Amino acid sequence: MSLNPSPSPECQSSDQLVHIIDDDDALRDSLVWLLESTGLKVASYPSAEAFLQVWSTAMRGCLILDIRMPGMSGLELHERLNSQHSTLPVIFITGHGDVPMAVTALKKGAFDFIEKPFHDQDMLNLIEQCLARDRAQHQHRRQGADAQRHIEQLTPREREVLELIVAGRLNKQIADELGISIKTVEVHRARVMEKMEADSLAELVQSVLHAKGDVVSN
Amino acid sequence: MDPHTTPSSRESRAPSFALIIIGVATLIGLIWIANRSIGNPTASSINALSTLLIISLLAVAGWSLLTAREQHHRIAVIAGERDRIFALSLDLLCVLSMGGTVKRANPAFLNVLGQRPDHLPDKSILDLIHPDDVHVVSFALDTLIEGKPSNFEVRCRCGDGSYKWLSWSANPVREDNLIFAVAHDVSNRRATEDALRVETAFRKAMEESVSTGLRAIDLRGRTIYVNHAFCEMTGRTAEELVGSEPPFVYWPENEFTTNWQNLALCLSGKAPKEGFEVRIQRANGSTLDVRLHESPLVDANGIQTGWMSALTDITESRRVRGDLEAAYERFTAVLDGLDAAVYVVDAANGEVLYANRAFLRRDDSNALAGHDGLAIPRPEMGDYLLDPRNLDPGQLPRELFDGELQHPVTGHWFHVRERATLWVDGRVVRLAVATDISDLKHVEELNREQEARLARTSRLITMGEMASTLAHELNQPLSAIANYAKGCVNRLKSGDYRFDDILAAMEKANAQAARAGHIVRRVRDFVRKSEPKRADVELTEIAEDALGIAEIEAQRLGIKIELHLEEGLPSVYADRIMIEQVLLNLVKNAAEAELGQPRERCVVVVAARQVDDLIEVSVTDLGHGIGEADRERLFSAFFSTKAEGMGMGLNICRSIIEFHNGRLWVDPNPMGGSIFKFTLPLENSLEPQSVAVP
Repeated sequence: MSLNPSPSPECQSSDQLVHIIDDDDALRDSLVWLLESTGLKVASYPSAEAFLQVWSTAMRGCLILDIRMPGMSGLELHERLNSQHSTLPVIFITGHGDVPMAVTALKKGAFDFIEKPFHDQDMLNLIEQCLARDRAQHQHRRQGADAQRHIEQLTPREREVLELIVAGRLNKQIADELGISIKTVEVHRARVMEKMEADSLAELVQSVLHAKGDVVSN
Repeated sequence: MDPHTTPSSRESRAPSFALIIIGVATLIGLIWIANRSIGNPTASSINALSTLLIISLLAVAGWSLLTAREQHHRIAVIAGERDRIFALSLDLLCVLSMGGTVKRANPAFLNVLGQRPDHLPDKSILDLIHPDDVHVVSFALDTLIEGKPSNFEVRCRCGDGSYKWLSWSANPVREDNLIFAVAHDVSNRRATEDALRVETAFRKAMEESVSTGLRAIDLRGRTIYVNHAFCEMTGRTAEELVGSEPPFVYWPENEFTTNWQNLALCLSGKAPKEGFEVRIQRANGSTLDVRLHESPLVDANGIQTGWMSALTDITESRRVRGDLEAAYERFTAVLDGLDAAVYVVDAANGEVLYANRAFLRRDDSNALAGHDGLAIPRPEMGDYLLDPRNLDPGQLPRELFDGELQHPVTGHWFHVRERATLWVDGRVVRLAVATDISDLKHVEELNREQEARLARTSRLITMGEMASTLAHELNQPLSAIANYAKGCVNRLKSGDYRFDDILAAMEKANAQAARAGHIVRRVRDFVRKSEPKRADVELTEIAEDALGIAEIEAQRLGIKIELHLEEGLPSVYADRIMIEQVLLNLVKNAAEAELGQPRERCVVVVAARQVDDLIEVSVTDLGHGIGEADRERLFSAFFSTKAEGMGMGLNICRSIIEFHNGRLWVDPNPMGGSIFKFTLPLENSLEPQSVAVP
């Protein structure tokens, strides 16, 4: 593992790292050399096993993964990470003729693959997109967690009202369904909007979806 | 007179007559004397007359006595002669009573029968006769008693108890009540006759019992004799046939002309020695094929009296011959139907004794004229396994030659096989079969070229299959070089760099460039476009080269390759690149078979050892193994267990190994997985295969 202190590019947030996993010493070393020359923060590992030793779900950034490796291959590592709910975007490095394997990897959720020999700019673009994705996912996860927290603050009646609002019911329909007056519904609705920190119905729905997504992803 | 003689009545009269005359004369003299004493004077003249008369009578009496004495003497002589004849006759003579009792017998009885004649009188002649013949003699005696002479032949007992045949002639003398009988020994004649009878009977029996039909015709063609077999053959009786004249009843109506011609030839003595083949029409209408041999019929005096024909039934033999002919025809049809030339040559002088149509077709003009100048090449004397000119017939048949020959003029190639064997006439011959293999040879050549092309193609296919591996391998250094270079560029552009870092990176890039060059050099040989070239190659070199390439892939797959070569392996006669390719293919397959196996089973063992005059190379993996059903199909074209395989690899590998006179097969590995093995002949063991091609 090598860490090189260098000015962080705009695309890379401070806690994001580019993780390079390749068995070929020269390729791995040269890739580190290249990426660091653009200011990216890089970590490298000679094998999948070495990477797994330091991996955790909290890890941010992206993975550059050689698809073929002795021992655990790139594909196997990817599957392992998937099964452990890793959200790190993965770029596979493939050799000539590895396209079918790369396609398999894409189906299983890899971000993209890049064929050797690659143009450095293509690689940098891919890395940038990956890091952006990672940030978006991070953001998404954070919003979901906020929404979840807001929902937990609602009373049971408010939660019932919230579900019916999100389901698209009008106040009158909600009143009929719950057997309460329209006025009461309006009160609950205002309290929900307040507790959920939503300024509009659209924001409310988005927040609920974040919360549900978070529930699903956990 | 001898009391034994038999005086005739005439002979006994003469002395009596003389005595009467003497008596009369004496009486007359006594009367005269009486007259004179009485004294009768007138009686002087009478006295004279009486005296004269007496003298005359005395003279007559004297003459009579003389005559009688002469006659008696003559009779005595005759009787003596008769007695001598009686005594000396070689024939038996005897006098019998009418009852057959022997009165007298001559000494011939002793000589012929060994019976003493003096013992015979008063014995019945029947006592001497063989009991079986007594009735003949009794009958003869009856005839004789009737006063008729009798002749008969009977067996008479000899003194020693044996019998002899005697031929008797007997005459009765009724006035004497006697039978005079003469007999002579006919035993020899009888024996001859008996022999003749036996002989005749034998001949007759023989004639009757032989299956050969016999027919005698006289000089005009009239049938004078047929035997039983002939009657059987014609289905007619001897009575019908004997005396018949041509055209004979047994001539088939539609073959009269032939039969007349045959008969004419026969009667003129020009019948062929081997006889005629004719057909006989039997009484029941069926026919019979016979062979007819004519020979002259000569009588006891040496005069030809006709022709004797012997007929043998050849219906069966003709059928057999027909079968044989058919068999021969089939045989020749088969031989003539062959494209191969088949011929038989006298081993000693090269004379062509038999040649089939294919041979003749190839060699119209010189067909049977001798061996030189033939369209089919012959082996040189030195090429024979042994000299065909001096072969011991006892050691035949023997292989003489088996090889390919090219005709010096036409350029045709023949596969010629020669065997020494005994010909039908006992000669030692070379039986040769020559097949024109020019086309085959051409095809073989094409095949070989094809094979070489295929091998080359397959090398390219293998290269194609390996391309990703090689590309990957090349990509590593190339990508690294590009990264190092771009990294340097970026740093140099930004101005934020350390010289030592840049230098280190550039040196690393240089090292990667060298690595790429090395890979390229190793691959270059592999796709070299060339004809297969076989030479002495050390298996070690082949193995090291092939594994050098295979290692690239194997390392990436995490497979370990072990090489176990026996010490001091002799070199093989092979195309190095081809064998490298086979080995590479097998190792690649083995490595792929181990994918997904636990780490400790990811080992491929390449081993080579010498087995007799072969080198056996094995590639052992611990992979998934090959099902029984797939094991043979594995080597057929377009069969592949790999999703991405072309299915050419093992098929080509086998072709390559077989092209090298080796064998490629797969055995299951007892430890799991498979063992692919191939053999290659040693360099020196190939030499004898190139014999007999001039």
